[in-house]
Order: sequence, then C-alpha cells, then structure tokens
Amino acid sequence: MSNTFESQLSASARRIRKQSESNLSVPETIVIPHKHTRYWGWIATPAAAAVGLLIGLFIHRPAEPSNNYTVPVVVAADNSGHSIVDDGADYSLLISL
Amino acid sequence: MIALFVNYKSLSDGQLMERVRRKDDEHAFAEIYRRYARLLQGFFFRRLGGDEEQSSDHMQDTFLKVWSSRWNYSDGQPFRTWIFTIAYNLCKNTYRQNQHEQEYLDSLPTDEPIAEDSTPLKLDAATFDSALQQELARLNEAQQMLFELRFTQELTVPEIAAIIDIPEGTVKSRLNTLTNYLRLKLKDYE
Repeated sequence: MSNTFESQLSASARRIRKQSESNLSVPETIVIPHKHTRYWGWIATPAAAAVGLLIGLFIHRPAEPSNNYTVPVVVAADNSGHSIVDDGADYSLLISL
Repeated sequence: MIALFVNYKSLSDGQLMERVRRKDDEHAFAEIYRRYARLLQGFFFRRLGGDEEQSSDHMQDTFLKVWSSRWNYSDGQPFRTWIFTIAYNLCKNTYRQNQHEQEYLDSLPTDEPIAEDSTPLKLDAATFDSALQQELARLNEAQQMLFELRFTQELTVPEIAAIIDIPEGTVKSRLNTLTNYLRLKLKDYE
C-alpha cells in the first residue's frame, strides 16, 4: 500500500489480528461427517432393497401342505342359538354373525 | 496411503482443494484446515463481538461447508476468495438471525472521547491500535466487514468485490470513504 496512513492501518490491523488470534483455542482437527456416503449409498440402497425383498418373500411364502386334517363341522342351531345337537356349546355368537 | 507419496505442505491451496474435490482427499482437507482454521476463527471472533465459542462453531461450520460444497469448487478459482465468501455469508446470516451486531454495538460505551486533550499524542503502536479498535467498534457492520477484509485479511479489491458480490468500483469508493473517515478520526495518532 503506497499510502502511509493505509500502511499504518494495515500494520495495526495485523497486530490486532495476531493478538486476537493468538489467544484463541482452535480445535486441532475437524471431523468430516458422512465421508463415505457418496460411495456407500450405491451399495447400501440396493442391498437394503434386496434384504427387504427376501424378508417379504420369507414372510409371505406359500404355505406348506399340513399334516393336520381340517374336519368340516356343520352346526345346526335354532334361533336362540342353542345347538340342536346338545353338545353343551353356545353358538349364539355364530348365529348373530 | 496417499499421504506417503504427497507432500501436502508444499501444495498450493488450489491444488489441495482440487485433491479434496476430485479424490475426497482427507489429508488435503486437513492441510487446508491447518492453514485456515485459526485465521477464520479469528475472523469470526472479531466479527461476532468476541464470542470465542460462537467463533469456533462458525469456523467449523465453514469447513463443513467447504467439505460439503467441494464439488462446487472449480479448478483455478482463488481458494481464499472462495472460503472467505462462505465465511462472509455465514457472518451475514448470523447478523440477520440474532441481530448480534446491534446487541454488540449497544453494549459498547458511547460518547467516549478518544482524546479530549488537544495535545497531539505521541505515536505509539499500542495507542494507535487501541484507538483504531475503538473507532472500528463505532462503524456499522458493512464498514467493519470492509475493514476486516481489506486491512486485517489483506484481501485485494477484486477479491473483496467477489466475496461481497458488489462491483469493484463500489468497493474502491467505500474503501476511500472508510479510510478518509478513519484518517480524520485518528489524525492525532498519525
């Protein structure tokens, strides 16, 4: 800076800066967040989709043939819900449905 | 591994940033941090009323922004201007958000004469620094920022124009006004 006063200002500003900066406690390093996101996103997203698909297939897989027999039962009941064949059970709820 | 073959200290800011951008080079980023951390924390410290914790947070925010915006940095772009643009915008946002600037100015003692004595003061660096700091505290935010960028950070007029995003002519004109004002106020210390 050619101007004397401007040079004086610069020199003063430099001293003030050095003084203020010397007292500061500056962290040694900085932690970079999500550094690998850029690459891992390409792997993690399809992998998560594949895992989800497998879980879905597993949950909704076709039922295997069962060894237990299902015996159809015909229940005859009157309007009051009492079984005509008195087996002691109450079928009123079934009738109401 | 990369650090074994590259002498990061010998690289320019632009070369380091290029490595950060192209290769996500953490060592290059660490070197940039080493060069600019204290400088930027000092910048925020002075611009945000001497709040060390806030200045540290802002400095780290600036670097996080540098990292997250690394793909926006173009080769050959002056790095100092780029990083100071980020820092300047952070400062501006802070002023807007909490009106820190106004609170800071309100907290300062007003109407304090610098030199009531008409006797010219003996030129002394410490006295001049003290008087200058008092005068700077009386300036508005834009003038303080201009002083910081020009005299404290010793940036050039084109660099300042790029950071503040105003024409170079306007920067020159504002600098002239500012310098003349300070010359008038500090004439006893020249």
